[in-house]
Amino acid sequence: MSDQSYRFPDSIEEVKRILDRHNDEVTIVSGGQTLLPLVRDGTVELDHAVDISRIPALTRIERTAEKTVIGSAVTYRDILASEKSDRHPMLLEAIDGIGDRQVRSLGTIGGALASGEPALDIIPVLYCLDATVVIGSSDGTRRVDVDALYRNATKETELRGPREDYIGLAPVEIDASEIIEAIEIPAIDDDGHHGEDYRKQTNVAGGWTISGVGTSVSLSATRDRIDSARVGLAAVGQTGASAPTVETALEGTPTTMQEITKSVEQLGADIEPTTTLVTSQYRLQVAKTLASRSIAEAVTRAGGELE
Amino acid sequence: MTVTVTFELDGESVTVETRPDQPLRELLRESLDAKQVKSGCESGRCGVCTVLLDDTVVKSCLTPAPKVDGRRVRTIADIGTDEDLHPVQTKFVDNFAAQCGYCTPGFVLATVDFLENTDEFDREDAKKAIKGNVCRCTGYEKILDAIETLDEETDADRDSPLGTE
Amino acid sequence: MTREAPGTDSSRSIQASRETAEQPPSKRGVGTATKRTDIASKVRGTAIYGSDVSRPSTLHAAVLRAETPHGTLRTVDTTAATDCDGVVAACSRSELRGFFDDRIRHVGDVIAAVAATDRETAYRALEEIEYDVIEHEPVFDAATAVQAGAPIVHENQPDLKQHRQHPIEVTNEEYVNNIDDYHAYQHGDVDEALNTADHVIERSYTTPRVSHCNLDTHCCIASWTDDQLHVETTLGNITQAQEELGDFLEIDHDSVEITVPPTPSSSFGGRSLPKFTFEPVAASLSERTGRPVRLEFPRDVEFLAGETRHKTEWELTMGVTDDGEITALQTSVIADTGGYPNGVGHIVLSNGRDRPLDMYRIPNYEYEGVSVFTNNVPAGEYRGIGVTQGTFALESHIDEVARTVGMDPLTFRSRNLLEEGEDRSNGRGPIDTSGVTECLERGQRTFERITDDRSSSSNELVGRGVALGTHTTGSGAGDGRDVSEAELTMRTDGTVTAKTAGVELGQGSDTVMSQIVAHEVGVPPEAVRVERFPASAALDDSLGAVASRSTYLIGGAVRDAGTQLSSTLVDRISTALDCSPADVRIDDGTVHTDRSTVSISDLLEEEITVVGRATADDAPASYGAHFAEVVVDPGTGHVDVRTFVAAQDVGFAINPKMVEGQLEGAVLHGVEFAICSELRADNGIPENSSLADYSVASPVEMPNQLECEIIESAERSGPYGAKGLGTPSLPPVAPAIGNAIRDAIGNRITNPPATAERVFFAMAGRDFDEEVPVDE
Ligand SMILES: Cc1cc2nc3c(=O)[nH]c(=O)nc-3n(C[C@H](O)[C@H](O)[C@H](O)COP(=O)(O)OP(=O)(O)OC[C@H]3O[C@@H](n4cnc5c(N)ncnc54)[C@H](O)[C@@H]3O)c2cc1C
Ligand code: FES
Ligand code: FES
Repeated sequence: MSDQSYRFPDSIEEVKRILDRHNDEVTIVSGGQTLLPLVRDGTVELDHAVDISRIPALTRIERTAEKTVIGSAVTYRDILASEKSDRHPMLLEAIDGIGDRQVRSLGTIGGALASGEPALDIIPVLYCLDATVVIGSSDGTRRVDVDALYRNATKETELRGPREDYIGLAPVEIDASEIIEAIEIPAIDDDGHHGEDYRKQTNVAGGWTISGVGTSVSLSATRDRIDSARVGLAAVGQTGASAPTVETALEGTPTTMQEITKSVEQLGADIEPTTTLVTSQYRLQVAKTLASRSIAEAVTRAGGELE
Repeated sequence: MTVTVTFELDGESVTVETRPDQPLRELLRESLDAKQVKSGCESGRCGVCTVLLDDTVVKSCLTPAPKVDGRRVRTIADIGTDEDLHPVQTKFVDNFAAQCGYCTPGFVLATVDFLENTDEFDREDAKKAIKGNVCRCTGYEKILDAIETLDEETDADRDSPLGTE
Repeated sequence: MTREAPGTDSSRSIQASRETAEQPPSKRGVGTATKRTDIASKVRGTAIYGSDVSRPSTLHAAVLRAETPHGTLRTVDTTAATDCDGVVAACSRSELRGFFDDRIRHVGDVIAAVAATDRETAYRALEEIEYDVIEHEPVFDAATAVQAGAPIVHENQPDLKQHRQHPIEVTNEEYVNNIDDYHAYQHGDVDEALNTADHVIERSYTTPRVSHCNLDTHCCIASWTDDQLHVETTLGNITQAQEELGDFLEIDHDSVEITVPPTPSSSFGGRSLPKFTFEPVAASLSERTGRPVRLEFPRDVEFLAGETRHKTEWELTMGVTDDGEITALQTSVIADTGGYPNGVGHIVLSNGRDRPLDMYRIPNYEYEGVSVFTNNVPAGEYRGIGVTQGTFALESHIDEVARTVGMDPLTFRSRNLLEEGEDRSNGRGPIDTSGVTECLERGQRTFERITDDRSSSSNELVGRGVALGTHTTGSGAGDGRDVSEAELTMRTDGTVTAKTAGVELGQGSDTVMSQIVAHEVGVPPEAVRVERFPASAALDDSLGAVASRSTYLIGGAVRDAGTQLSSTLVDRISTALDCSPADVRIDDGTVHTDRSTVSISDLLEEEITVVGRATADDAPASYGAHFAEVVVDPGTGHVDVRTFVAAQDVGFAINPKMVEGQLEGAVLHGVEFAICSELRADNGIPENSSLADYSVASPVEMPNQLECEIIESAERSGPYGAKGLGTPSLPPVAPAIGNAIRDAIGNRITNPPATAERVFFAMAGRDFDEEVPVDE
């Protein structure tokens, strides 16, 4: 290869071929919104860029009866504008709150998932929506749950990218030879018992997330009991996080504020809050507050009556 | 410089050398002398470097320069003329929406993009629309006033002469 | 506008102007919302700021900055850097001109500097510089640094060629080391008064280190022609800056010429005076290379070397009677100067001392203030230097005292306010025009109207607060030493060029000056071109665009010149038309007499040039009463400023829309100070020195509802009754919000910013002095 290069491959196949041959040298560029600040401060060297933002197969949203498939290089802006994404209100609410107009014009879900930065809003949202990430390489394609990308990853996990510390944000279980192709969000069998919510607290608007909580719930037929719940968290741990203990505690409980608060009290078992910007005690408290409110709102949206 | 890009800058085709790791802001300001694109931070926060990329608002400091190859970049220089201001500019003038003015090109461009993609809005929506732009002088009030009046009369009167009350 | 024949009074001092201000204003003269004269270039993006300027054959500088806060440079080797392709010169610290010893005093202090053909090369060459530094024990806490035994950052009151230093006599035995400045003052018998007071309330307050965050970062181009140094950069106080730079670089004051770029950048005090690691570095490199050198601060260096507001610690003890009369106030303050002083740093202490006495009757008063060198980043001037911090402490304290005696804070304040015409308690002359009562009344009325019938849910705690603030206009002395001159030239085409010492930093001073000329002479504001007079001009000005003196003093000089120009013009016209001067009326550039209507350009055959002058024999105080309503989220501690009313006495609003703009900007800086911003440091290393990490306020943090009440008290000494605005409008903002938070949560945050976390823990019933728990 020459010293530096910037290419726009036409197809996913071409990207895979490049990654297969040069994965230790090239860097995928999607929107560049995460990459460029890191390039500027010297964390990342961007010598050979593979820009995927013009690949038709990656910039499409498709919708079938079963699922919505969002190409990894679809921008946040286009997701908001597309009628095809309108069946996931939580997704749209969360995206609407990401960064600002300019960042949403270029930023993509693929870039977010691949960087794994724990403060990203989209990870807990996709987790709540039970999304599957489609990852491809010249060896084929694999499908994994969103949280599986981060669950077992450690700093030692082999990370994609030319540098060992990759982009230094968080460990993600994606190999350097792989590309995120799409995100599949199952259609919710909306029998009117389903509700979702995402909310976050930042230090200032447009600033860093102190804590973000997403919830999706399914209520019983009588809507007075939580059948199942998912609680996803942003900015609380080292990587994207979920709250399995709280989820389990919520299952089968009556839809009362008291029960919700009680379940949320167990959040401490699920997370080890980081101390970026604020103390871990505070972060845990905020996560609990937001979780109670988010669950309550999801229950209300599912038609449940809170007591 | 290792990569050659050709793109349309404010209506004119330019071909220029750049690097994969060069932000568009730097290319515009330094290689193309487009000083109307301002520079204020290294973190993508302040929005003074805002430009339109194929009519979509982006921060040029967060845009890899080679990304614009074959595309259309519009800076504030392509919004209105001295004789015939764009309605957004007219409203900024009428509402005293600039003090030092360093942030103003970015706000105007963000507003242009916002209005072109929004039907109805209120002041809260306007606040969200300019979240990516920082102003240190105005407290944002007069900028929001300007945007709000644009809602009231989207086909703003373009003839309002400068400097008259 | 009707022009009267010139009166007999040809005195060049500012005239009493109450009557004039009440004349029906011309369409676009003073008192009208005339469009800004600089606005077109700003909305079109054609304005060229400091960082946009390029000059032929300019070299680019990069500065190697210290990563440790305190040490002695043993060796600095720039050989390899000098050898880099494209590098024209590399200087070690000791090779720089002026005061640069071998000591490193803060993170970001200069170690060496490089000039190269482009910026990237210059930065890359920095990596080739080798140096060896012996680290010293640093000191970061000002209260510790001033004690005996503390590491020495500077000898007491070092001579760093900064002006307006004054001799000090430190009477406090505990203050031994690192003293930048010291003030002690008393009147009455405070001990006795505290002993006999019905209530004595004592509290400490801390204010944070905050940054201006001007969007255009510092940038200067230095060049030499023979022995003449030329620096192009935005500086508000050009005269003092030239003198200080000259002294610092050991050259004549006359050998330094500072010019501002075509469009100056915003300042907020951050561009009033030179900075140690800025202009002198560029000047040295330029001298060394014989070429112009451009030095630009990257954003992180703005935080390291662009100066911050002084961090301060206050202790206030107040004695009051049962019925709410202040009998005594004892104040002590320690200010953190950081690694280097600033030419006006001492004002932090004098403002802390004097401002309470401009507001309240305080029969017994004792004040002690010390500013102290530490190994933190240097502090300097930031909108409302000292008075912003002092007002936060005082107005928070007053709120607390009122609560203790069981009085409504507003009533308590009214009871103790100085009245118009009443002497200050320190014996200084009376307050002349104080719109403060009207500020309180009108502010309160508006506040009640717009906060009426608000319901609150269980998820919110609502609180309301009020605070007063005042600041004097001009340099503060009011002793007639601060002067300003302006030259007006009317050309035969009827246009006017006004030369002043003003710098249009965004505050709108060019527009104000053209409005004044338009008003006095009868030309349209667009026909007036406002320029800065060059340093070499025979015109006088002591301070430039600082201390909210632009409108008051420079405007006064322009007005004086305007009246002269008008009378000369009317004379000439009446001669040309052979009529009585009394019959001449000039409006919007057109001359009307009984017989004819002609334009000025048809009549004027020769240019007219006049010089006006204004002297600050006064330092009138401007007052504000600000009201805040906050909503606190009990589950997160998040504070939302829902409503804010800023009632501000501006004397006279020459341009009401621009006055509002200044007030709204002040509210932003106050909101940040109250709830958002703080430059945090770990061992002297700033932790959040980027705009992503340092919180600046977005529109969302601004009050949902913001009303500005402009009060006009018609200041006797100011043009048309105007007085300072930019500075005085900031101090009451943060304490009003702080008091509202106190009202909402029942506890006081004495160490702003009241971040959600601080509020949350304060709310949980913790003692407010207790540190928020810190993780390892
Ligand atoms: C000012 C600002 C504010 C922000 N605010 C928020 C916020 O409020 N909430 C929030 O959630 N996020 C926020 N973000 C982050 C933003 O969401 C991400 O930067 C964006 O989503 C990343 O997408 P991208 O396409 O730009 O990624 P890029 O920068 O292009 O890529 C990021 C990384 O992912 C890799 N990558 C990209 N695409 C793929 C792929 N398909 N397969 C494999 N690897 C890939 C790249 O190699 C790179 O290492 C903010 C960012 C900025 C700059
Ligand atoms: S310069 Fe691009 S956002 Fe600040
Ligand atoms: S007008 Fe100065 S930063 Fe916005």
